[in-house]
Amino acid sequence: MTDSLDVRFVGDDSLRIDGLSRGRRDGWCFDLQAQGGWVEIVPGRSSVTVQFDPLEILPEDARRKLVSLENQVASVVAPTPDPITIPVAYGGDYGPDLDAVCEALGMTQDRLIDQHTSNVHIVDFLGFTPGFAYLYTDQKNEIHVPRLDGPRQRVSIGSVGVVGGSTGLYALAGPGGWPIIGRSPMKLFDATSTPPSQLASGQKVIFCAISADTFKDLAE
Amino acid sequence: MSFHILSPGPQAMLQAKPRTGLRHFGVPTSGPMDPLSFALANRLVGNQLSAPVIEITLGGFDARCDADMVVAVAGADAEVAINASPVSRHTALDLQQGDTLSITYPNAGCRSYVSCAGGFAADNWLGSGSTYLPAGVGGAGGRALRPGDVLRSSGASTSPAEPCATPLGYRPPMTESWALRAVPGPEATDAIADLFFNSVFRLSNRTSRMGGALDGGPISGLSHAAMPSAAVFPGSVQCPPDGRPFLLMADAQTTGGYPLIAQVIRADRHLMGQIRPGDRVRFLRTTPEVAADVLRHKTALFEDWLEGPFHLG
Repeated sequence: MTDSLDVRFVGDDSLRIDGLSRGRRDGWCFDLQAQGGWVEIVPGRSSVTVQFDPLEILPEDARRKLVSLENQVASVVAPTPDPITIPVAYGGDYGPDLDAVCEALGMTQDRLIDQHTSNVHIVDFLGFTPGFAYLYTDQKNEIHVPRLDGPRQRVSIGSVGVVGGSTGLYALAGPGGWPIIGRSPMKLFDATSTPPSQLASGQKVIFCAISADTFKDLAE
Repeated sequence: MSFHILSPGPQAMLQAKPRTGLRHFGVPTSGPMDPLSFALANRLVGNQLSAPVIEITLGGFDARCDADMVVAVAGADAEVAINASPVSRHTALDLQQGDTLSITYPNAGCRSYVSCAGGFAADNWLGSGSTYLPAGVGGAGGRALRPGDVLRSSGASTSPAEPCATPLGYRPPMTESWALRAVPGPEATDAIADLFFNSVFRLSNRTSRMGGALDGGPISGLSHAAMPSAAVFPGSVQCPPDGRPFLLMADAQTTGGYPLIAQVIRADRHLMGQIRPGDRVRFLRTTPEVAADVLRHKTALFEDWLEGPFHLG
């Protein structure tokens, strides 16, 4: 065990490794899956969290089991299929925080929308709620804002949020803490499909701006 | 046999075993908010302990059966009646064709669990019959029960069970003041942890199966810096910059980016489902090692009566 691995307990039945690059995170997920015995293996933006059953393995033994993989984990690069286009109506009722985000960044709406729609975004990982996708971009990106001071009780289905340079797609309605800049009429989650989520890790995405009228047409 | 919902109360739905191993797809665990009462209800009617049951939030529930059936009620301290005559919770009840089962608003606690011999039939989604309302899946068409809904038993109707009641020592006490053991979370500094564990909270009305806001504190002094989204679980306490923490429950999102300041231990998570908006909530600081010990003891205690696999949270 080296000092470099940042492992912390989350309660009595989970352990989180922080400070991971994307490739290293995906490598950990792959090797933990292969190792077996974990109840959940959950990637985060720069972390992996495992959940275990303390009736089957004591917390300190779980920590040792996790750390034992450190020297074998290799970086993994997720395949990146051709981009799909996701239509988004920006601002107004569809993006209730667009004004505040632009003001915080000192950007005009046009410039922000232009940057968001010209960049290629890549699905980093899935999480939060079914169908929700976290996306990042390797291109020039000035859209760095913090979360809302407290979460909204209800974010509309299809909402597009931005936090810390990432974009998040709310595939279902529900509470949420990301400033919302727009909304897509595209169905991102269908419980009857296999898999139920439209997006998977590594998928490239291009957002295209649509008008409120087009949103209504597409939503029908 | 069929069970006609006359009044579901504020919210009632089918819950079965948790949906585990899918959090990396953003699929929450769901399942009963109080898994111990859920298992106790199934035990009384001779079911597998994870058979689908009706989870009733804050009473107001009436249902009529169209055939003889054996049911049981566990969970919140509510009045239970058959055709308006009081009967006991934690007892197998023989319902005759046409009988009406009623459950009132609880004196203490929040959720009641109604089991029937054979288990209620529930829609399966990703390996579980548990309802998850935000995605409209599981249970009865993926939604909360409505007046006029008809539920069916998925098992063969059994002959009346031998008189069966939960021994007194195994009936979880209900209260309006809850203490949950928790471990400080990865984002809790010593100062934040001290403030959190010394605060008394009330569960707010902003509560659902996903979780609830905790009034009290406020827990100030957390960094506003954006933290990278990471895994959260039922029992996680997150605290946004406004200083009002929230406690995540059975339908908890799988990842989040507000600081994770505490995690309720597995052995005490079943209590979360019985906290009613307005109830007092305190958190008692413990360690992973002690928590694992508590889980072992509590599980062994209930295993003597439940005699099958169950989970406390």
